[in-house]
This record gives sequence, structure tokens and C-alpha cells, in this order.
Amino acid sequence: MLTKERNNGEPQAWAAFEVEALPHADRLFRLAMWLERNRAAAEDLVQETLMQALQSFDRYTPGTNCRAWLVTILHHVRSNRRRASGRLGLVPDVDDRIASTTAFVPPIPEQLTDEDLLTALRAIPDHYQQVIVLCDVEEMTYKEISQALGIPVGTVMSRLHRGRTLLRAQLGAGEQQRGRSHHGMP
Amino acid sequence: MECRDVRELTDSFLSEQLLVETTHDILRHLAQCPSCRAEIESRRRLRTALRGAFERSPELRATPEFLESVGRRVRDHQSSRSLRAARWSFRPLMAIAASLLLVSAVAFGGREWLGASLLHAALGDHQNCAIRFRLKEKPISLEEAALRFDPAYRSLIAVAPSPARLSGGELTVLERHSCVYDRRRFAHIVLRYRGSLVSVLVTPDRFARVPSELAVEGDRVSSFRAGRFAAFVVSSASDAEMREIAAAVAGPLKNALAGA
Repeated sequence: MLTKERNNGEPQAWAAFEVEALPHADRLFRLAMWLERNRAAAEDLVQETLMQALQSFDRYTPGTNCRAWLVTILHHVRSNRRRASGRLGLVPDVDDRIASTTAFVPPIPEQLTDEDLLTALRAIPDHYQQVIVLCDVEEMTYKEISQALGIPVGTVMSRLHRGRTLLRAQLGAGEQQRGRSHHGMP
Repeated sequence: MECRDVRELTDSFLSEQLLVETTHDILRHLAQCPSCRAEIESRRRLRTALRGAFERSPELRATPEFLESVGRRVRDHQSSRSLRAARWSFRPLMAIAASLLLVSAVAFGGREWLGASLLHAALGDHQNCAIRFRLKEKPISLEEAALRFDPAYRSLIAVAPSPARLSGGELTVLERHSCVYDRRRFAHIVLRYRGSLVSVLVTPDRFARVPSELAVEGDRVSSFRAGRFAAFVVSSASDAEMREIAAAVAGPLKNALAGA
């Protein structure tokens, strides 16, 4: 086999892609797995994302957040697939209204296991999960999340606010259930 | 700034999305408000815990096999796309080579026909191995080829162009191996000259008659005999450069294969 130092542009682009993008495959997979809930589908999604990223790697600006760029592609690939299969549901645009009507924010339980957290996150609607994961786990900025999901920054902020409130409510409910079962209550 | 304002801005504060002035206002408030401090700390803890839960979850973890292979599969896919895109530009080359075969067979008989067949294989090997990395069969080392097919391949392990410095610059060896194209096994030495790839392809043959110089599409081929072998130099270099390259390669090759 021949080495990358060969002269045309393709191996050079690959070398840059290998350094900049491929190290994010691990994190991309976690996100894909969270979204797809199926290992084969997640692997397929990550592979398709990386293929598309390589094809348009000339549009990536070196020095910017490569992972956010890849996450944006991943969401586009997933949206296109879901649209093609007729599974893309419309999210009602009621985030602002709900956010402004949510008054009570339960305290976050002191003792939380990873399972408690992930179960609670799973229990809230998908569009809230997405922004929480992109913000808190992927550490993307509001602007990056807005670009990745194709929604305004204001909607990102309201979904985050509402999503976190719902997450806390779920965690609180889980804590109550654990407390009941701990004390032998039904 | 009041507690209510701070609570409304907590998400943005934790995400570091606020203006510097607003961040300072919140920090000033937190310095004197234990309740908001506790709330901010609680939310920060939740974020950190969530990130940790994602990282530790075995269900969300990619398998080592997937991580190891995904890069290769992405690259293979890209190469096949490039190959498909290049097929139209490569097709005339193949058509000309095929025509050469036919014309040679009709006009000159068996030896010429075989020469044209070898030439076609050498051009194809240069295009598909050196340029596009697309061969059906994985190349092997010359040492392995010597053990499995012909001890003479071992003679080419150290052969180098002489002189290595030509009028336009250095003629550098990039790689050497044995590969197969169109069922013909070659010793393949890949060199670089003035930014272009040069293939030196050597294959056992006593019979074929090949033209010493030929231009097919963008590639030029020089061929010569070295003992019981036919050798081809293939590159997109100019005629003058090709003559220089072939001269630098032919001597050492003939010496190396003289007794083989």
C-alpha cells in the first residue's frame, strides 16, 4: 500500500481529516447512540456523518470547533433520514409559553447515580433532551446548537430552560419513588 | 441584580454565554447571596454529573472494533467515489490501451500482442496502485514476493536510481513492493520526481516485444529488457524528463537483475 505522502490533494485532505475529525468519532458515537438507541443505527449514522464530513472537509475552517461542525452534520444526516422515512415529527413551538408558566423548580437530589440521571433525561421529550445533551455534554455554545438543530438561539435558550426544569422534576420524582420503596411504601 | 434575575440567567451563566458585564453583576450578587450560590452550585453539579454519566455509560460506548474500522471505511468510500468520478477521464486511456492490444495483435502477431498486454497492465498498475491506491489484491513486500514467487524480486529491494539527482531535481524512492494488476505480478518501485509520481514496474518475461517509448493519454511509458524481465517506467513527466528518469533507472535495474 502506498503512503500518505503521495502528491495529490486527496491524501493531504485525508491526513488533515484524520487529525482533526476522526478523534471525535468516539464522542459522536455516544451522541448517535443516545439519539438512535440502537447500536447498528448509531454506527451507521456516525459513518455516514464522517463520510459527508470528509466530502465537505474543504468547508471546515481549521481552528474552529470541529466537533460542533461534525455534530451539525450528524443532525442534518439524521434529519434527512427521518424525513425520508416519514418519521420527522413536528415539535410544537410552545417552548416560550411553557417556560414562562413553569414556576416550581424542585431541588436537585444530593445522591444521584449515572443511571438515575440518564433515566430521568430519557423521560423528558426528545427536543429538550437534544439541547441539554448538546449544551451540557457536548459543551456547544447556543449559536452552535442553533446551527446544528436549525432553530433560533432564542428557542435553544427556552428549550434549555424548560428541559432542565423538566429534568429536575424527573430527578425529584425518581428520588421520591426511591424514598417510598426504601421505606416500604407502595 | 435580584435573585429572580440571577435564576433566569443561570443557564446562560453556566454556559458562559453572557456578556462580561452581566457575568460580573451575577458574580457580585453571588458573593452576598448564599441561596443563589447554592442553586448555581447545584446546577453546575448536575451538568458535570450528566457529562460524566454519558462518558461512563457502557451502553453509549463505541466498540473498539468500530472505532478502529470506521476511519478505514470512510476512506475506502471516499476513494471509490474518486475512482468513479475519475472513471470517465480514465476510460479513454483504457480504450486506447485496449485498441493498442487489438491493433498489435492483428498487425504484429504474438510477441507484439503480449507486449501490448504487458504495457496495458503496467499502465493500469501505475494508475490503480501508485495514483489511486485501488488494487483488488493487497501489495506484498518484495521479500515475501521473492519467497513465494521469484527469488529475483529480492534483487530489487535495495536498487536505487543512479544518478539520483537529475537536471530537474532529486529522483526519490517513496516505496517498493510487489503488486498484481490484470493478473500480472510486478515488482513496483514508486518514485517522486518534481512532484510527480513515477512507477518502475518489473515483471518476468522473455517473449514480449514492447515499444521502447510510448505516450498514452497523459502518461508516458519507457520500457526495456533487464535479463529475463521486462521493465516499464510510467509517469506523466515530459519526454525529456522520462528519458532522463529511464536512463537513471535502467542501469541499476539491469545490473541488479543481470544474474537473476
